[in-house]
Amino acid sequence: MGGMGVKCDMCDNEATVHEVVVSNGERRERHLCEAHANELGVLPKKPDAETMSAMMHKMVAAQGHAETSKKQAIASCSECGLTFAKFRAEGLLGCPACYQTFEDRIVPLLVRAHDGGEQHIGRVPKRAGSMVERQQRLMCLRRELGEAVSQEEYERAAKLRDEIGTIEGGRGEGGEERDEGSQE
Amino acid sequence: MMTRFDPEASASWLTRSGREGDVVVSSRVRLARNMAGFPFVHRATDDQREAIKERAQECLMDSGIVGRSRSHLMWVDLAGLHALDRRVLLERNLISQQQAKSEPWRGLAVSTPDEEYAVMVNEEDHLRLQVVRPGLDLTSAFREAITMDDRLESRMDYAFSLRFGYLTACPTNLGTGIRVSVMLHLPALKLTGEMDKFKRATKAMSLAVRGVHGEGSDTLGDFCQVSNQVTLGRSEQDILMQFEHEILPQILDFERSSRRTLLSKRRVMLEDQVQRALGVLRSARIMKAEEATQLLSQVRLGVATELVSGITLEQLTYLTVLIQPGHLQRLVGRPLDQAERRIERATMLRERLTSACG
Ligand SMILES: [Zn+2]
Ligand SMILES: [Zn+2]
Repeated sequence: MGGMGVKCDMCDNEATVHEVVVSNGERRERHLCEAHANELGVLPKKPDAETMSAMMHKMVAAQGHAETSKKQAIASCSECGLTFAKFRAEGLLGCPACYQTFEDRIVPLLVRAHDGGEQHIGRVPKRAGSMVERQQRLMCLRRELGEAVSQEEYERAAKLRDEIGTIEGGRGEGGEERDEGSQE
Repeated sequence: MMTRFDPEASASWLTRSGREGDVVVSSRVRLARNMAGFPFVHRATDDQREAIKERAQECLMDSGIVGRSRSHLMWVDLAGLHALDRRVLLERNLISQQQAKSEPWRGLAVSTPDEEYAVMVNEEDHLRLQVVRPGLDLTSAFREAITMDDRLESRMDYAFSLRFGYLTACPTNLGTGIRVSVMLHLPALKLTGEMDKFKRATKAMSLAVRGVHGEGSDTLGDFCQVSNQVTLGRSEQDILMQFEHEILPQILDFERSSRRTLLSKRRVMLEDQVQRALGVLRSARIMKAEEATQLLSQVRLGVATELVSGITLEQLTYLTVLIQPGHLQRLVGRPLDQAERRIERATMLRERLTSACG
C-alpha cells in the first residue's frame, strides 16, 4: 500500500502518518491525518512554547482541527454556559462542571499536557475520601446483590438493597459526585 | 484595614541564605484550590467573586490560618492598598500581575514579617496556598502547605473529582494542583554558553523555566524559576521527590561545574567582569533597573566563587528586590519618576555596597 491517497482512519482527510502496531502477535496498520495523529499521541511532538498557557493554546488549537470531524458533542456547559470554542480561545475552563461536560475533548489535551497523566493520583480531600469509600462499598454491594439475585437468595437480596438505599441516601455531603454508571 | 508594606521588612528568603544558597535563592510550593459551587474566577460575576472572597476569608479565620497574632497570617484587602504597596507585594512575589490590579474582590493573606506563608484569593483560582523558604527547602515547604490545606479543607468543600483530582481553571494545574518551584541563579551557565543545553534538558524533563516574576517575565540577571509541569497522574510526593532529589542535583552540578571551569580556565576574565560590575555599582550616578540587576548578578557570582568578600549572598538577593521601582519609592518615601528613580537607585547602591571588597 502506497502513502498516496490513503485516508485517515478517523476522518476523511489524507493520512500523513502511517504506523504499524504489533500487539499480541497481531499486526495492525494505522493511517492518520496529522490532527488525529497528534490527538492520539502518535506524534510525540514536544510543545516548544515556554509558558504553560502558550502550550495549552497550541494543544487546544490542534484539537480544534480534529474536533470538526467528530460528531459535535455538547456545545456548552449547563452550569456556567462556557462553550468549548471559548475554552479553546482562552485556555481556561469556566467551572468545575466543565470538566464533565467536555470530558471527551479535554482528556486528549490532559494526556499531552501531563506526560500521559489522565487519572488523578495523590491527595484526596477527607470528605471526598469518605465518598471514595462509599462508592467502593456501593460497587461491592451491587456485585453481591447481583449474585444474590442470580442465586435466588431473595432474603439476602432484600437486605443488600436496603443497605444500598441507606448509603445512596447519604450522598452529597461534599466533593463532586461522579456518574456511578461509568465506575463499573 | 490600611496596611503599609515596609520595604525593609524581613521576608526570610530576602534576609537569609538557605541550603545550596549559592545557586538556589528560594523554594516555593503552591497549591491551587477552588471551592465547590462557584464558577472559576474569570467566569464568575463580581457578586460571586465577592462571595468567594468572603467565604475564603471566613474559612481562613475559622481554621485559624488568618488571625491577629504574629503566629497567624494577616489578611490584606488588596483594593484598600495604595498602588505602590501592591507594587511592593508584586516585586516580592507575594501577588501576581493579575492580583496587582485593584479589583475589590481580590485578596491576600500573608505571614509577617517572614512572608513565608501566603494565600492568594481570586487569582486564576479561588485559592492559591503558598509557602516560600530561603534556599533549597522544598520538603518543609510542602509539609507546611499541606498543613494549611488540611485546615482549610475541614471548613470548605473543594471542587474535586475522583478522576481529575482538584479541579482548576486551567487544565495545566489539574490533579494535585501542586506547583513546586525554585528560584535559581545560573550565571555560569550563561557565561559558558550552556544556557540552551540547560533549557533543552529542562524541557525534556517536563519542567517550566520562567522569569522571576512568573509566567511571561524575563529571566533577568540570570535568575530564573524552574517548576514542574505535570500535575495530573502523579502524586505530590512523587513530584516533589523527583524534583528535589533527581532534577535539582543535576542542575546544581551543571551550574557549579561551569563555575569551576570559569575559575580554572578563564579566571582573569571572570575577575575582570566581577570587579567591573562592582566598580560600576559603587560609582555610577544613574542606574537603570535592568542594568543594576545584571551587575548585581555578576557580583553575586563573585561572592559565590569567593572572588568578592564583605557582602553576603542574601544582601545581594535583597538588593535585587530593593532596586525595583516600588521598593525604591517606598524606601525614599515619595513618588519618583523614572529619571529620579535611576538617580536614587544609583545612590542607594553606592551606599549599600561600600563594605564589599573585591
Ligand atoms: Zn483525521
Ligand atoms: Zn462550566
